[in-house]
Amino acid sequence: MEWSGDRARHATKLAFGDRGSPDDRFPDVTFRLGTRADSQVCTLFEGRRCLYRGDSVGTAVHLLMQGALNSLISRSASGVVIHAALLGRGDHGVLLPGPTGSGKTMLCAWLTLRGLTYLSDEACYFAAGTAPMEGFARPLCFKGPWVELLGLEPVGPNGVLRDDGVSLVPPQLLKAACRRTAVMPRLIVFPHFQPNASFGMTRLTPGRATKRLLETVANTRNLTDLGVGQVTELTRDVAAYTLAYGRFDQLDPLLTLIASPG
Amino acid sequence: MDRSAIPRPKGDYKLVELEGESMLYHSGDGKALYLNETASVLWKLCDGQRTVAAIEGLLKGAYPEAQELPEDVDAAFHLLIGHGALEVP
Repeated sequence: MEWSGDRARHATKLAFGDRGSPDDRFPDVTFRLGTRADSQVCTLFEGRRCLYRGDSVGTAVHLLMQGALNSLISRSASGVVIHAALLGRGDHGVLLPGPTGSGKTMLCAWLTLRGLTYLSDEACYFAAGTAPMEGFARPLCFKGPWVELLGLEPVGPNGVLRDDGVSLVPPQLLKAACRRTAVMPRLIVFPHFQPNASFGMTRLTPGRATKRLLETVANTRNLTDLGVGQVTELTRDVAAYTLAYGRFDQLDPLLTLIASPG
Repeated sequence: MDRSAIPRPKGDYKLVELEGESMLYHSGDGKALYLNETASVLWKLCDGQRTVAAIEGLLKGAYPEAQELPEDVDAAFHLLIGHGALEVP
């Protein structure tokens, strides 16, 4: 990751934190984010390819994180990458798989506000169905209003990048504990948020859970059996539920389930 | 449906079975199709050589007591053809 300009430096730090890159490895991919002090223009390059040129740093950073994730996905051949948020409760993982717009990030944020640790709001990796799961760590990425929905006090400008209807929020700002080590998945919840919808939580059979989880696998083409082996191994051992909700105050049964032993 | 037609499974579908449940997973678009028991058996019988009539006959022989089998078989064919998993020339 290379950057130039103060706004680019700030945005890069927001997206990737203070992690340095190892000096002794040739990069698989190089992103360059640039901003200028004398104009609003912001540019983002992947290698020699221009991904963005415009005046929205927020859009550029969103594309940057998406590009970094796509790059990881395209190189992941030894395990499964799924589109899912991942939280931890102790060493146990709670997985929230789903497509864009299913409410993963909002539910993930709400659960971190209730004490779960944050690993990712977008993508997870596991080498085998019985192996620990890792999260693709990044700021939470909200589309649309989130402060009001989560019942938060208004958040000041420091630390949050708002642009073009997208807010990038470091998990620390939600007072969320972050975790970089992997967790063993113990619960899978497929969320579906619709404003004012009735609450419903249904246990899925392993087959139904497999069907839904397979549809979230991002690196199918890299895997010899399309990820079927790892996914079935996971759904055979881990309880899975669908969750429909329209308000957060309906979610006590979910908290009870997460807190239940075993 | 033409009962002399020969349904052929598309090659990019993978049958996944788990604890008595079955689904077809399409490697191209990443979509999965959940199958009931009739559709699962029917999929396995579609080998690109048997006709629709032959498959119906095999299922009738295997489930002689099933009253609603013709409707179930018809629904399963429509499901699989509708999702593009089977093609009928």
